[in-house]
Amino acid sequence: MNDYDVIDSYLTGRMTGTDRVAFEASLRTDPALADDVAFYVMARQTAKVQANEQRRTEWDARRRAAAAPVQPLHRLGQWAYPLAAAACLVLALGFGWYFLNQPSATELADAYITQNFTTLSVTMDGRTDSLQTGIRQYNEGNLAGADATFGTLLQRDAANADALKMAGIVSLRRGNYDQAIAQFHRLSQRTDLYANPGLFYEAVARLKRNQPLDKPTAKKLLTTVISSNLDGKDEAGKLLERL
Amino acid sequence: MRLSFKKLSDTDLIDGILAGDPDRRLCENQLYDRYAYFVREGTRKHRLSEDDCASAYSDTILSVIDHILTGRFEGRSNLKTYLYQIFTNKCVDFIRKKTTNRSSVHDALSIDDALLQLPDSARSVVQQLITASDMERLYAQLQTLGEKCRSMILAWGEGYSDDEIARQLGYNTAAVAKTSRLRCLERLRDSYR
Repeated sequence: MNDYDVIDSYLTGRMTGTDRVAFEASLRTDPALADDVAFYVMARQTAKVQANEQRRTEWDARRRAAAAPVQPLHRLGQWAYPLAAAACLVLALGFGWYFLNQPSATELADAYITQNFTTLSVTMDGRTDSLQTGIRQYNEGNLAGADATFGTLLQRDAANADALKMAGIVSLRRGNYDQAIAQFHRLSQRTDLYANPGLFYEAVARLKRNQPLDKPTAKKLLTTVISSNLDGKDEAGKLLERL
Repeated sequence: MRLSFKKLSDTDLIDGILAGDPDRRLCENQLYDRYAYFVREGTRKHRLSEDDCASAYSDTILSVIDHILTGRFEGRSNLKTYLYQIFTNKCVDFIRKKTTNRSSVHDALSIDDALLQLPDSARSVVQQLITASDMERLYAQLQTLGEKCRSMILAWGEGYSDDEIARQLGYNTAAVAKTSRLRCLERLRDSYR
């Protein structure tokens, strides 16, 4: 058993009885033993300090990793809470104003329909074919009559793109949105037309119907209209900006 | 006792710290994390910098761990209240001193407990020897000790038993760990003198 072993036994309380008494007697008379005891005590305390330093460093890293550095609030002093409350109020009002003033998808569609579908142009050549009859009925506000006329025309000539477009517009004005979307979609599938507004009209009809997936679908359609340079490209750009 | 990662109660944390490694370290870290928001409160309430508050908070956790290990924490108040009181005192100390004790070895030393075990006649002699010693140099020498020796001495300083040190550092038995620890202590003394 070396000196540190003995000191260890004594200071941890494992040494008892006569051994303990003998150790204490040696300590009084043996300067070298006293020196070893002093070193033992110092070494343990120094180790504790260094271990604590290590733990502090670990915890500091842990704290910094857990959260971004906190800005001390005391820099703002007594104004911290009133300023924070004021900032929240301004933000709330700002967001409220912004969202309340943003037109809805339906309102955008309504604006387009009002501007473009209230009156349809009639050719001035005096023809009295079914297409012109339907358009006149439409312009006179006889939407049911126009619907029947375009329907009859399509039964006779399913490939009549003008009739299909007009039928879609009538369906949209009459509130038959599902039918309007289907008709505009059929029109958009035609690849033999010089100008085909089918995709753009379908987007407008979806915005008007405004079911859960209609708005994102309409956005995709409008994007396609722009990227494919289709009929309605300019209007599509304006609508997309406001959606 | 093996701990899961569920939220531990105060009693679980205290039991875990008393159980020794590996639970002790996990519980110490959980204790630190649980009340780390005191740091933010300290910056607001005591108008100390975040670093000062974090230092006071770390000191607080170390004190509480020490109190748990030595039985000074008797559980008369809940852990949060106890910890908050110590943290507040440490923040006030910081305000008074306007300095941290990070770089000071002497401030953090509390050798009274060990000296109290010595008979009166020997205590003053040992105390004089300690006072005459160069603690800063001993601190520096400990840092230059080999990694395994240093780890062993630090674990001993933290109060880990030889059995726990053996498990931590991969020794076969506590007796082997103890022999190695005492050899490391001799090496430290030789490099110090």
